[in-house]
Parts: sequence; C-alpha cells; structure tokens
Amino acid sequence: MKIRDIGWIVVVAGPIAALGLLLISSSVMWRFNEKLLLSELENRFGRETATAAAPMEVSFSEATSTRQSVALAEVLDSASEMEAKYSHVIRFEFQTQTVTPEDQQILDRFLAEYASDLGPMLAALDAIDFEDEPIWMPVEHGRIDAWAGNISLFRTVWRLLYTDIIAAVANNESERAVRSIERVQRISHALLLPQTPTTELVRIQARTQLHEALEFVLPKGDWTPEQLERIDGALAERFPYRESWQAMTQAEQIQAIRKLRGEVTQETNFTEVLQAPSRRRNWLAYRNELERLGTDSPTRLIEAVDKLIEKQATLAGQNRLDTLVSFPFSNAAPYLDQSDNLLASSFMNLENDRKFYRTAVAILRFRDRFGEYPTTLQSLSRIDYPISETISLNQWSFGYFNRNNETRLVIAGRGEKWDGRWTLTETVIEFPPARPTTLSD
Amino acid sequence: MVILGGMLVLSGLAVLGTNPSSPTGGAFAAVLGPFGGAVPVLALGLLAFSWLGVMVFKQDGSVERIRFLADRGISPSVAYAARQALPLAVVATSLFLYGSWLWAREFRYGETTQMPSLLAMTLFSLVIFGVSQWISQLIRTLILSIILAPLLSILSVAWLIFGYTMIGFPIWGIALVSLFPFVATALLMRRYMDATDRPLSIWLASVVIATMISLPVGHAMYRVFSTPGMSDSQRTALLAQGEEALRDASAIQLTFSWTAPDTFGPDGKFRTPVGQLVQALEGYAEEPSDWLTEFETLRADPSLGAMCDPYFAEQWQVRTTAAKLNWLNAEEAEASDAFEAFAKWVEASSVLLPAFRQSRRLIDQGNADRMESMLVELLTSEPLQSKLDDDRIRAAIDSLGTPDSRADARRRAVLASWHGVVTKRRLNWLALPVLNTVPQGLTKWLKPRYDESFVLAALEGIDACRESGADDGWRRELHALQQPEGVFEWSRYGDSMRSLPTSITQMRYGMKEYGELWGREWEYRSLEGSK
Repeated sequence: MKIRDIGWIVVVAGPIAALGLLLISSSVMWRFNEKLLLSELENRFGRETATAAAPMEVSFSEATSTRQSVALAEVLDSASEMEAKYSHVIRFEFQTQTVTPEDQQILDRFLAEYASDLGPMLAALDAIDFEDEPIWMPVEHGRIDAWAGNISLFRTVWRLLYTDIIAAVANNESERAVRSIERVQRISHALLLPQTPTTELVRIQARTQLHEALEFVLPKGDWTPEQLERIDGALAERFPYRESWQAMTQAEQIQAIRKLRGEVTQETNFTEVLQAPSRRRNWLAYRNELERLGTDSPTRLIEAVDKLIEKQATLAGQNRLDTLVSFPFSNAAPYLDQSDNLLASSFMNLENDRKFYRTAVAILRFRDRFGEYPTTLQSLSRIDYPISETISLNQWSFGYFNRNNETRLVIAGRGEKWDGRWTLTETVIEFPPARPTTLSD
Repeated sequence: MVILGGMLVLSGLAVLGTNPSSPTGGAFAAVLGPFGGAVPVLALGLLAFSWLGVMVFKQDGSVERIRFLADRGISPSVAYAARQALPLAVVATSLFLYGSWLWAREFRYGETTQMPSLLAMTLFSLVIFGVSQWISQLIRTLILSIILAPLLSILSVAWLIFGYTMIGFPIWGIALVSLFPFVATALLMRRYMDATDRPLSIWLASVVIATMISLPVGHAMYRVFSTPGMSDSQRTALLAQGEEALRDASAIQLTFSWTAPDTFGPDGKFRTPVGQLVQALEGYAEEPSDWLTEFETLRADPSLGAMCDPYFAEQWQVRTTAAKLNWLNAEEAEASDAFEAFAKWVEASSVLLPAFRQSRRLIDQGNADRMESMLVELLTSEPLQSKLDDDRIRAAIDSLGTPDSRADARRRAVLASWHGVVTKRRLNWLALPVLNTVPQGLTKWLKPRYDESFVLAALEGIDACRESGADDGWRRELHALQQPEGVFEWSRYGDSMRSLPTSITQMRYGMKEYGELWGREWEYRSLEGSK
C-alpha cells in the first residue's frame, strides 16, 4: 500500500471513526454520570431516602399526626364553607371602595354576621395545639409528583382572618382584631411541615395578608397602648429566612429524587426527554449551592442567588459529553429560570413590610405616649424603638411626613425582580389627627 | 461538491449564529422565528446530505468509472466501500463538528433553544444519506435522482419521526431501519457493476419500502395486542349483564344552586358592589333542601336514582363537616340551633345516599362512597353517641348499606357504565390516566383494552370487598391504570394511606380515582342498631 493510499484511508476513515468515538464515549459518560449521580444522592440524603420508592415519604412521614390532621381537615372544610358563603365580603375591596353611609350600614351588619359565623371555626382553630405534634396532612405519592392536596386551602384561612381583622376594626372591636393578628402570626409560624417551596409560600402569604390588613386597620383602629404593644410583639418577630430557605431548597431536592434517578421523564414541547445524567447532576449541584446560601439577610441572598445563576451552567464538573446521546433533543438549559430570584425577593419584600408596619405601630405608640406624632423617625428612639427598624433593607429610610396636621408614612422600593429589572410600588399610611394625650410622660 | 460544501458551511454558520445573545444571531433569530431559527438552516444541511448520497452512484461520469472498475475485476465490496467512503466522511465530519458545537454550548449560560441531539442528528442523517444513495443506484438518470432523493429521504425521516412520537417506535428501531438502504445497495453492487441489476433492484426496492413501513406499524400492533383485555366470551357475557343493569334504571341529574349575583338589578340598574354582596348573601342556600334542586322529588320517590358531579358531592361533604364543627364549637346558647342545622345535613344525606347507590354511573358510586364513608365516620364519632336517638340521626344510620349491598350497586354501575362506553350511549366514563402515558397515535386502539382491564380489576375488587381481608392485586391494577408512574405503596391504593381516616385522604378539587374507598375499614365498622 502506498503512502497516498494510507493518506486517503485516514482522510476517509478518520472522521467516521471520530464520530463513532464521540458517540461511544458519550454513552459511556452517560453510564458513568448515572452512577456518580446515585452516589451523590446517597451521600447527601442517606441510602434509605436516596433509594426509596417515595423519597419524600421516608423523609417526612414521621411528621404526620393522624389526630391533628383530622382536626385540621375539619377546620379547613369549615373555612371553605365560610369562603363560599362570604365570598363577596372577603373579596370586597375595603381599601379602595367608596361606600355611601346607607351601604356602610348594610356592610357593617354583614360584617357583624360574618364575625359571629366565623366564631366556631376560630374556636376550633385555637383548640389545635401547633406545638404539640407536628402537623402535616398525608401526602399522596400515587402520582408522578407527590400531591398534598389541601395545602392551598390554608390561603382561605389567611383570607378569612384578614377579613376578620377588618370586620373587627369596623365594628370597634379592637381586642378581637388583635387576637386575629396574633393568630396569623402564631399559626404561620408553627404550621406546615415539610417546608417545600409551596408550603413556604403559603406561610409567606399569611404574613403578606396580615400586612395588607394592617395597612387598612392601623390608622382606623381605636387601639389601647397594651394592644399596640401586642401588635408590636407580633411584628417584632422576623420570618425565619435562613431556616425557611434551607428547608425548602432541601425539600425541593428530595422531591426531585425520582426525576433525578431517571424514573420520570420530562415533558417538552414535542415529546418526553430523559435528561442526560450530567444535566441532572448539574441541577442537583445548583440546588445544593442554593441551599448553602442561607443567610439571615434577604438582600444578601438575592445577590448570592444572582451570582449563582450566572455560574450555574458550569457547576458539577465538565463532563457533559453524555448530553450528545439524549434523544431526540439535547435540551439547552430548561432548568434555568428566575424563580429562585423571585423567591429571594419575596423574602426581601416581606422583611421590608414587616419593618414598615412595625414602624407604623411605633408611631402610634409614640402618639399614645406623648400626645403627638414624632417629628422625625429618629424621635422614635424615645420609646426605645430601634432605629434600624425604620430603615428598609435597601438602606433607605422610610418616608415620613409630619406637617400641617398631616402625618404620613411611606414605603417605596418594595418590588419584585423579574427579568433582571425591578418593578417598584409604594404604600402610604395616613395617620388620623393626633388626639389629646391621656397619659402624661 | 463545491456547492454542497458551501451549503454545509452556510448551515453551520447559521447554526452558530442562532445564539440569540450575539448581535448577528439576534438578527437570525428574528428572521427565522421562535425555534431559534435552527430548523430551516438544519434543513439546508440535510438537503446537502441528501445530494451527497446521490453522489455515491450518480456523480458526473461515475457510471463509466464503475464499469471501468468492473472490467478490471475489482471486487464489488471494494468498489462499494470506495464509492461510499468520501461522501460518508463529509457527513461524519459535519456531524462531528455539530456534536462538538452542541457540547461546547452546554456550558453557556442563558442558552434556551432546543436542538436535536447528536444521536438524533446522526440517525436522521444516516436515513437521509442512505435513502439518497439507494435512490441514486436505483434510478438511472441523474436529474431524476437529484429531485427524488431529497423528497423520498425527507418522507422517510418524517415517517420515522411520526413513528417515534406518535406510535412509540423505539430508537433502536430507527437505527435498524436506517441500515436497510445500505444493505440493499450492497447486495446489488455486483449486479449494478455488471448493469444487470434490473428487475431485481425493483423487487428489492419494494421489499425495503415494505419493511420500512411495516416495522413501526408491526411494533405498534404488537404493543396493542399484547395489552390484556377481555376474552370474547367474557366480553359478551359482561356486556349482557351491563345491558341488563341499565334496563330499569332511572335517575335524575342533581344540580346545586349557585350564588353568583347579577351585576344588574331587576330595575336594569347597575348594582353597587355592596348591592351585589347583599344579593349574594341573601341568596345563599343555608339548608340542604334549598341548595339542592330536586331534593323533594328524591324524598318523595325512594326508587329514583341521583346523578351529580363529583365536585358537588365533595362540597356536600365540606358543608356537612363544617356544620358539625359549628355545632361542636358553638357557644352554649347557640348549641342547639347549631345541632339542628347539622342534623338537617345528616338527614338529607340519608335521602341522597340511597339515590346515589341507585345510579348506574360509576362516578355516582364514587359520590355514594364518599358520602357513606363520611356518614360512618361521623356516626361512630364520640360526640354523636349521645344523639343516636334523634330521628334524623337514626334515618342516617338506616340509610347505610352493607358490604354486599354496596358491592351489588358498584358492580351494576361498573358494568352499566362500561356498556354505555362500548355502545357509545353515555359519556360519563372518565378517560383512564394511563392513556396519557402511551403514544398519542395508539390511544384509540389501547383505550378499549385498558377499559376492559379496568372493568376486570374493578369487578375483582368489588367481589373481594364483600368480605374484608382482600388481597392487593386489584388495587395494584387500579393504581397502575389510574395513577401511572406513581408509587403504589404510598398511593391511596396502598396500605399506608388506606389505614387512615377517609376524611384526610381524599384530595380536594375533583382529583379522585375510582375505587379508592372500596374495602377500607369504614365498610366493616359496626354501628349500633344498623342493619
């Protein structure tokens, strides 16, 4: 054979061999990554959970208490019944709707009826001891994704309590309103295991709903100093950001174990694609890193999540050769989205709002004490209110105006980060004219 | 050759350019549409592959060259390899570059377009190239090959894609099929060199085409026929029983009154939000007989059956439970009123329950199961024990069935509902979720078989539940058909969930499955003074 012939054979056979080699090494890498992924899961969650048919069940079944679940299910049934009956009262936009005096009378009558109808449900809710046994309803794993059917019903409970607070203030029953404020705080704190993103969002919603009610009732209510102290106490408690973040990012990984093991495929536009193991490993590594980001400061969390998203594509090593033999698509980045960022920014909004409404309460406490509103927010130190609470996480002080008998507290700079941009909103609380003080300093 | 090379380079550049983050790529993406613009340019590359395939046997002067080789006594296999080598090398190089590009792309942040994987591209390129080289051997004129090859190869690819997505033809099948045209040309090489390939080549062509069509179809047919159903005699017998069950059944459709208020009042004027609120609250049905249309008709005629949407049966349970909670948590002065309100729901349930059992629709048996399990758990609960003498509570106890009477009603309903599906007379049979997991093109063929397996499993379960201590075979089957890809042990058919009270295992919002409440503990609980 001449050199020219050998040259020809190399030119012709080379590319074919190279293509073959690429495909074969890609398949080998598929197996290799699959094994690596399984051992990563075992290291991380323990053998029992990593190999269980229903990993969530293994992790959380001991948190289920039948007795408590039954009691809670009845409360939730009662809540949906209340919601069905009073849907128009619940959805009534108290903040914005202007009402004629006659209509106001009718509204007050129905709010009073609402209050008495809600009584038994609140009694049953108060009878549940959230500290006693952890409460979790049974989760069904009959479907691809575990289904905890009735979680969303808690939103109804928050909505009912929101209306109860408003109804109580409209009816001059400030004690009842304070009890419901404390109730939201207590239940949202103690409820709900395991902390998946869904359940944590429900918990966050409880507080958001409470804040919305406060915006309406704080300036209107006839609060005693002792009641204001209690509201302050409820608002002083920060949402457990670090624990919540870590718990939910971890639960998310456990929830995904069946997908990670390749037992469940992922729907795409055309057909189902089994993600290459390296992509699944990449997802797991990313969630792992997310879990470790846990920090008490929501703003630092947002920055860290942003940075992590940037480098997500290169996590978990460089051997992504196996993606070449997935079929029919080599999916580019379906895991990338903005939702982690959104969750972190909902933390920030929650913390800003908490500080804002607590400051509003402090202004009322100041007025009760000195018979006039403070001239600046710094004056709140006279009632031992920490000044750090008057500054939002963005390091902006809340806007405060006290001139010509008009007193307003403004929060701006709340917002959501979406698509790299912030949308901002602002909330204003206008305080009623100061009344003569009953207490002397 | 130069033109084909140009096409490949162009499509390669275009693929690289579709990265939306680069300025030129942005322009490409804008022009070429939301699929990242990759499809049209990939098509250009595939067209080039097809013409490369044509070059194998129909390049300028190639016929003469092959004759020359034949005259020199070169073996057909060497000649075959020599003809295939260069075009195949070009295809392999392009695919190698494509694969490397895909690989590099994995690490870039923000890439979101879906591209065919290297495996997919290799298989489909092989089909296109293979079909094209085969056409070029089969057809004597160059120009006809150039026109026909791309058309037929695209048709083959389309058929295989259809096979994969619609009728579940596997990847190894596509790989197998892609080799047939190569086998055909290799087998014919000697005769082709001697120019004696006709008419054998035509025969062989028919065989290749027939195999390419029949393999995916045969695979799908095998899948359909290996799915268990009923035997003919079983089917005839059970259908007859179903028809029998339907014969003297009469049931009325129940609806519930809604409280959606009108935006406009009777005077034609716009209602204020407060006006709407008043109307909604005043129209709210507090009592079961107000809430439910036709309630008095049912009460008057106990032989009537009742049909209703599972959502309403769920709401019924919610309202009854809420009434119970109101009673137990009422302040002392209001306790007796609250009990009256609760007792009305219990009494009304005793009218509804037998009516649901009368219905021949399987979903109404589900409604009845939901209501009856609720009543059993309610009536055996501690607070109710002091109220067992109350007439309305008594009525509820009397309305409860026995395992046998329930089994009879369920059996009737399974057979009658299924009979309705087979004869297309009724449309109340929910599609079994397992159908969502099979290729779309096969659902029509698999549905009757899955329905039949369901009927058999349900009948087995119904009979097993006449006495407690049933085995779990029927439950596994019902789970597999209704909750495909879930985990049986922890599903509502598994022992763990089934040992819990029914009130906490039934999920809300109409997510329910047939037979989930059968044979659970409530069915065998003995009530004081019940039948």
